[in-house]
Amino acid sequence: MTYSWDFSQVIQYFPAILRGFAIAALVTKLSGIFGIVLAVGIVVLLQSPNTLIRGATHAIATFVRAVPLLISLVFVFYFLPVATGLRFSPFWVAVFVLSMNFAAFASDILRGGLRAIPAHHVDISLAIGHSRASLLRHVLIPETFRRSFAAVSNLIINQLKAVSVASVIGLPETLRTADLLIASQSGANPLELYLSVALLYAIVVLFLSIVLRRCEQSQWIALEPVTKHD
Amino acid sequence: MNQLLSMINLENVRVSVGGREVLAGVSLRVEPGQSVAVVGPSGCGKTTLLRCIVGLTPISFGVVHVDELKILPHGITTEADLRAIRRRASLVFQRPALLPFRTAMESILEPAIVIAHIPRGQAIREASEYISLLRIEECVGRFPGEMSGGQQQRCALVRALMAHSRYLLCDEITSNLDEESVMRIIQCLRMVRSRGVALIIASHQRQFLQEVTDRCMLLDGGIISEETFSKLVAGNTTVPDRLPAAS
Repeated sequence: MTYSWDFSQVIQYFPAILRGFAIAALVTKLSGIFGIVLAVGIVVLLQSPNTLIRGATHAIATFVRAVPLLISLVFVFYFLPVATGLRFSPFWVAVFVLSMNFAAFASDILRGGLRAIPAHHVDISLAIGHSRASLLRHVLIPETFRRSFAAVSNLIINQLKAVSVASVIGLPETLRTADLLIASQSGANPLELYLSVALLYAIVVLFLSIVLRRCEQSQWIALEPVTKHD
Repeated sequence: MNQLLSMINLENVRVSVGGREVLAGVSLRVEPGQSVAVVGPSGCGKTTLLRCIVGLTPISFGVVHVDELKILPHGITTEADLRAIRRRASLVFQRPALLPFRTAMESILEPAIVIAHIPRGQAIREASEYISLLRIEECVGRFPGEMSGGQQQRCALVRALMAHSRYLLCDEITSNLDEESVMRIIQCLRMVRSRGVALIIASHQRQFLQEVTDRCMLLDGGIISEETFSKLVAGNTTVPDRLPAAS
């Protein structure tokens, strides 16, 4: 069978695809920010001396990690209106569920980063008079982030790609936009459109990977940075 | 402050680590301006002794007084008291203790800016005196990974001094250092001592200790006793192996 490729349609529909991608990028950004804040909260709660708080936090994070993202999205999208009587837009449901998902996975990475901090780093900081709170703020959180940055970077890239799952609840992101264009009366060709969507993701993810790798090596993020000599 | 309360005083302190009693009833009194050497074989508890003075290692019996503050057994001392003690007694660790992601200058200024909330300009002026005395001007902008062990240790000493503590505890800070680093550290310790700071220095290096201390305590088998340097070198079986003979 011979297929006749027609990429002229892609040029015509590309602005719409880009608008969809902008929505995906915004959801990634918001869920990434909320997710990382939640993840720090989870890690702090996991250090609590109270067994109940520790156990409950661990159970919730494990549950969120265990449930497939697609099921979480669909469940929250249909359950929230029933539970609260309010209707939430697919955008905010996607931000909420992806934030929770990001937090559950990122907290595990951060917990590993925290545990990797040598005991003498804590000792030298306590010895100069840090309180527990200032130790957390000035030493543990910065060092944990530096130790976890590479793994969290991968999670951010994964998050960008995971947003496409929210097309099932009607979020007009890239994939959903392509679907709508294909199903529309103008009848865009699926192969060309999906291929262009895939290439768009590949180019952005490649660019993002390079930027994150550069960040990882910078003295603001590297665990053992070096000064730049001319 | 009441003069009687100005001292570090350990009363019958016992410390167990991993089921082994490292300190078996140690009593030690260090008054302002004094400089005390703590010697003893490796593993005798010198580090533990210094750590328990600043509350990093909990004691199981006895009491540690730092001025009017107390460290009591089994970690029941409040966090506020521990912080107050650590602002009065600074510990310089044997292992060069700088965080790998901070420049030497950031580490040096941390006690002044983050803990004591001194303005940055003032803190830099204060630090520059110690920095030039210890000859580490060229490495203050570097990260620890770019510095030698001696440079890191000198930075760690300046960092401890920036806390303006009344007591400076040094845990084998000259071990494995070159002669120049040791000389600089001796000069610096003499200067802080002349300013009334009391020193407690654990080390294996007799010459270094004789330069900066005036009392010698031998810690062995968990027990501490007052000794003289000459007696330690003259055939006492408890003299640590690495205590070098006088040159």
